[in-house]
Amino acid sequence: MSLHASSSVGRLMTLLFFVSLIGLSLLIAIGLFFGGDAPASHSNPEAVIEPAKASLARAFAQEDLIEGWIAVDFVDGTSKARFDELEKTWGIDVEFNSVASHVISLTIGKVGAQTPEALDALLAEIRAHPEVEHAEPLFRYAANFAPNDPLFDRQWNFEMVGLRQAWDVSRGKGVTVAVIDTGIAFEDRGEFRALPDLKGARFAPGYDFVNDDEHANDDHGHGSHVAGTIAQRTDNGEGVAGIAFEATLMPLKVLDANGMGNSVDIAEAIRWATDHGARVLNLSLGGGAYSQIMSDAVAYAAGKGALVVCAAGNAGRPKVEYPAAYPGALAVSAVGPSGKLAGYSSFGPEVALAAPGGDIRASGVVEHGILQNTIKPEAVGESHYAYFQGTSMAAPHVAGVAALLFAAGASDARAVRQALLQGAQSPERLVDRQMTTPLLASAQSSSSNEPIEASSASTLSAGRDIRYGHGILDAVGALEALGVPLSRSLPARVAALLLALALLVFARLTISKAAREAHPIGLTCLTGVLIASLGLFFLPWIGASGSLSRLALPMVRWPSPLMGSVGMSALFASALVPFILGFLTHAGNCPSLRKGVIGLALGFSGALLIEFFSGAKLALLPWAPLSALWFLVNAALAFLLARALMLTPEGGRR
Amino acid sequence: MTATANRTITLQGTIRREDLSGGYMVLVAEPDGRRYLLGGATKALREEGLRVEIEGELLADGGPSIAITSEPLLRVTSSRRL
Repeated sequence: MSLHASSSVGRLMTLLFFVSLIGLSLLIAIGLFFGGDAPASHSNPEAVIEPAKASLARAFAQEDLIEGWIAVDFVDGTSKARFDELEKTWGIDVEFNSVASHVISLTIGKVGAQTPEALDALLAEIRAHPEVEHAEPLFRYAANFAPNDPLFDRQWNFEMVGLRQAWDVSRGKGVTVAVIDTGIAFEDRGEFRALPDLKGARFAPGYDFVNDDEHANDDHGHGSHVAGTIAQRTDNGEGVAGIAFEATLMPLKVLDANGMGNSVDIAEAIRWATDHGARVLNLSLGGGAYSQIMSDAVAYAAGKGALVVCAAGNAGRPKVEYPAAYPGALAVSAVGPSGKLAGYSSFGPEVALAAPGGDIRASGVVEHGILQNTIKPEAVGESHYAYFQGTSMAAPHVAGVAALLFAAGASDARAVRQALLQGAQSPERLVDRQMTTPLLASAQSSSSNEPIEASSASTLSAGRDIRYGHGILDAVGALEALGVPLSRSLPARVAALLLALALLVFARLTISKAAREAHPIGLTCLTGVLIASLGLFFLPWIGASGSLSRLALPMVRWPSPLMGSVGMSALFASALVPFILGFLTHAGNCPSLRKGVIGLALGFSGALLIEFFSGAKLALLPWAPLSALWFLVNAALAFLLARALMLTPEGGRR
Repeated sequence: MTATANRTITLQGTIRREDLSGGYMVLVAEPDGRRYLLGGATKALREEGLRVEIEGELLADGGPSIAITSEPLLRVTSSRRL
């Protein structure tokens, strides 16, 4: 009797445990579903970029105060003269936040250290004024990585390509990017000085093909600016940020102090870079003359698995210049902050992508250029921060993001190129997107009434457009197209784990008591659940990087050897792996390993259900409901497999 | 404009600063207003609006440069202010 009672209590406890697990995991799953957790990969860039941005905005909710500063938003059109008058009465000193703030009369100002009560009182007084729309403390947003470079907020171009979220997963470590240009101000030598915002950056040995020595210093300023966009020292409290700031720069000088060069030097530099370990080559140069030697060099680099990124040209006409037009090169056109093709940008069928190149000409606003640290051409030892514009500035954005993709585990240049193109954002969608950089937001609103020329979302989704190629560069989209778990957040992984455990309990409740007793839940089984649902999560802790680090994902997101690195493969995101392992352990008559496979199958089932709930998509599967159906069916198959294995007698084959 | 057999030419015109790629100088030649990228000995030619006579070697297809246009390149051998 007492035995029966304790058995009932045990059963009740199990049931309670089961119900609470299911409840908890469903809560998280529902949260993911409605919260719009970003999907793993997508073949239609337009449809999927939004959830990623939504989670970016959500992350911004974690805010804290910047002590001693306030923001005052005056009625639109309030002039500086007027608020200078008003600020005296409040005893504060505010200024326009940026050039864009003039339109909306948004100011920030220092009020010094104040008690919270005094600050509240001051803000209340300011708010009460009829010419004030809002007044609030200044908030710091630091949910995503926010570099402390003081001029970072002028880099509207980095927000346009979604870098802050991308930096959470990749910063280009271990990838060498060759800058084939006028050189880089990377060392103190003779009259040359290393730029303050390149000090501490990583450099690979380079070569000066103009002067034939090993010191590819910059005597123009163009190459250093381009190098800065790719890997300016970042989070160093100085100047501006760079895209792949943990990448290694290889300075190769092929252009002289006039910014002019010849095809042979450039061809040699392309081969040199390829043979010395550069995985990305940036060529912000070109002209109209076809050179077979240069074309062969580009083909050589591409054949060796390097990505050759080239500026499309600045002639503002439908003809892409060389080397961008050579087969194997990735041609990049330029857009301004509005997301529209810059008037100067060349375009044509060879254009693969558009990227921010700045457009000062269109607006007359110098801040609509691309800001980096470079040398003054008239005094090569002197540093300044300068706004440049041109397709020369657009190409290094792509080169930098390509470095992020290589560092995130992309196997080869083909995978990087595919991810870049697949992850690109449509120019129209970009205009609709809410930008947090005031300058970008204002540039967009001022141009939102004008339609995007020539390109529409429909022509883009149908294929590539002669102005924008596959769309505007998007680091987040590209990383997701690669299958990098930008959005495989801890809650999603924990939900998969809990769901798998719940399924384990559920499966055990549906089999006979005898079968349960024959197969107690052991450590092997739990390990299986853990590895399948969380992946080899400990790998980054023991220093794994590159493609190995992708095994730190839930197993359903492991890369398929058949498909390169791009996208979430149907191979792993299915019940196939548990079925194969189940068959092997069964055929090999290995009951202890079978317990591991039971756990693994349940882990797959849980993780696949989470993929279903978060609306993820499989690579190369254009229709989203098909992915959802795939996840659901395979989750069920994996569960049924686990249950079937539980029913298999311990002793071996039936 | 006078052209010789070795493609050395002499051109008159005005120096203009191009605002792309961080800035570079071009010659807007007289009388047709044709633009030439400038290479070679350009140190004395870095002044916006300067009227000059330039002797140099002409590369009609241009050459690879930061300009990334198909404009002809004039490799300056000598120049004088007008």
